[in-house]
Amino acid sequence: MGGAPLLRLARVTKAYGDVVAVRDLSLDIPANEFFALLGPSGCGKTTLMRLIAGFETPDDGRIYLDGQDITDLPPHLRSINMMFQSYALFPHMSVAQNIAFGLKQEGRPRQEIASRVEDMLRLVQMVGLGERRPDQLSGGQRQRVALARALIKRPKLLLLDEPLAALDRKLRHDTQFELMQAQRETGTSFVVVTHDQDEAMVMAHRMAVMRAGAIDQIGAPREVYEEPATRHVAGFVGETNFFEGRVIQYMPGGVAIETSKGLKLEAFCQQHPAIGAKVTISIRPENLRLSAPGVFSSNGSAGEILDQVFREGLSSFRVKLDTGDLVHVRKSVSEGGAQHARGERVFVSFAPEHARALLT
Amino acid sequence: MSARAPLSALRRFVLGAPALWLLLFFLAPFALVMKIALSKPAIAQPPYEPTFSLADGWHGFLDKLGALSFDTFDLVISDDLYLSAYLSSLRLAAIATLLTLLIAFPLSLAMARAPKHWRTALVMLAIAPFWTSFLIRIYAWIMLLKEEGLINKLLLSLGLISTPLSIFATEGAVLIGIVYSYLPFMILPLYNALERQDPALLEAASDLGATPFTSFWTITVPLARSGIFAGVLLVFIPAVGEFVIPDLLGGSDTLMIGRTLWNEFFDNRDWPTASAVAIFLLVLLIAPLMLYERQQMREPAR
Repeated sequence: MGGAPLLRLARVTKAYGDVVAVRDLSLDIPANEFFALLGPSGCGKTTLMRLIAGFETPDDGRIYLDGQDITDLPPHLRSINMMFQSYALFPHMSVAQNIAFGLKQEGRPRQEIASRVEDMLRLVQMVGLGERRPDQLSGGQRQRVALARALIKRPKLLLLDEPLAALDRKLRHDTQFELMQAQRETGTSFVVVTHDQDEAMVMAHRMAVMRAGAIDQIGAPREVYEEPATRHVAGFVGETNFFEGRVIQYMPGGVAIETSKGLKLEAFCQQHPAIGAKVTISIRPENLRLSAPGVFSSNGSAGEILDQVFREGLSSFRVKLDTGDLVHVRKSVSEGGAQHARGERVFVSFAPEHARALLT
Repeated sequence: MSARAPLSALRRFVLGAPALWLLLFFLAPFALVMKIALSKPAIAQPPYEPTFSLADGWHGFLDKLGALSFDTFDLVISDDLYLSAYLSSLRLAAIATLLTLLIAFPLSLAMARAPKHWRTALVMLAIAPFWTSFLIRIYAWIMLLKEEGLINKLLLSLGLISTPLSIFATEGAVLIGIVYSYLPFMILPLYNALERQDPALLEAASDLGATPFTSFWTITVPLARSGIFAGVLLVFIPAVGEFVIPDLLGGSDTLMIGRTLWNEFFDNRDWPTASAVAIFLLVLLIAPLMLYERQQMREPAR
């Protein structure tokens, strides 16, 4: 195999009137990958998905599937299937008829359709429910029928539009793992469109973070979390603290900045900003240290504990720094970092290699 | 308890009002028509006998009751004239309904798929003809269709025909009249059914490999079924009994039951036979209504 990726978007642009939804975007997705398109609403991720499915045609650029140019192919001729956010189950057909729909269009023999529908019902754990109508199903069951219907043609690529948005919290958690399992078992590449960074972090092998019609960063979830390329990515994926300032000095592997409030901070930096350039330092809550005043004195600020929340084995503190900045600090309870009373004076600091100075 | 009493009285009224309405304006008139159908024609005022009166007393009432008979029903069944009038009405109404459906479906589909801010205006346009009297619009069709009418003049002056078409006073003219008059009754339920359809369903069908043609027949049409049924009934039932359109636009050979009824009633002054014809028509039209009822029951709950 090797060589060409399963899906290639080459400099794709799509505008609606004056609004550019997708701008000069290129993206490769290999076979057998669970890929997530992540971004806030209006970032162009839905348009991108509809371009891949064929419901929209790009104004510029080409789309290739398995090396074949499919840019001008209508949806019914693409071996890509989609699971709709509303599921779009056919209300006048039974579960089995819904699932069989795609194969019927291929004109497969009845026997084959019946056995493959049965296989799909097994895959989504809906055996015995084939005769039900969509309005007799729960939300979770409808989601699974939609998945089965989209997978029965064994597409090379499956698009999933906000697949968990209509489910409640508990169900969402379980369904994430079911989707991951379905992806492994079918070997189909899944492209999930979501605005929920948790979903992308849990499910995806790789993810693209989008903003304003373009991709800010592509990478494995952990990589994106630990090495955000832009301030937008750092803020969108996971929780973080920002310090804005101007570069005052180069350090080994990084820069020192001074904030408008006179705080001097050092951070790792992969770019090369000029002295005086505006940068933002991003530091994750779990990478901030809380210490008694006097233990550390650099790369941080003294402050006062505002409040503390305990959740899922973690203590989250809000600390008001003497500069007026508010920061979030997270400590694992088992590490013994949870003993700070409200109003207690602390020194908040961080190791420069744990923080990232970002230009944009 | 005391607080609920007036409420339940109101409820009883709300539930009872339709029943009362049906009793006063449907069942009572129906009983009168039935009674006339069982009477005999007479040269009198009213033109049938017997006529009941309070002065008859109990025995007089029973005598007159005995005089009622089903003779008129026998006549309507045995005389080929009525049978062929019924059949001809059903045939014309069926053809007209089919034509109306064929014209209304694409129109309704276009309306339902039009940009949202246009739809209300399009619905208003569809029902705009109702702002002019029905009778005047049918008269206008005479002006259009007759031999020296506008349509013939136009076609002649364009050189498309050399002799005027004789549309007026034919079955064709009756069909045109019915289709034109009842089109809004077909469009509204169809539009309503089509407008509710989730556009994502068609995208899903297309995504699964269905051509636009297949999507139309497997998704759009089946999901519009209730609208199609409602529209067909709204056109077919009144079209069967239609009198004004065949009378004004049809020729002497256009046989429809509405006209036959009129003739019996006004020209022959045979009220009992006219009543029997009307009752048969009613029975005939209950059948499609019952079909509709059954289809409504089968429709999945939304």
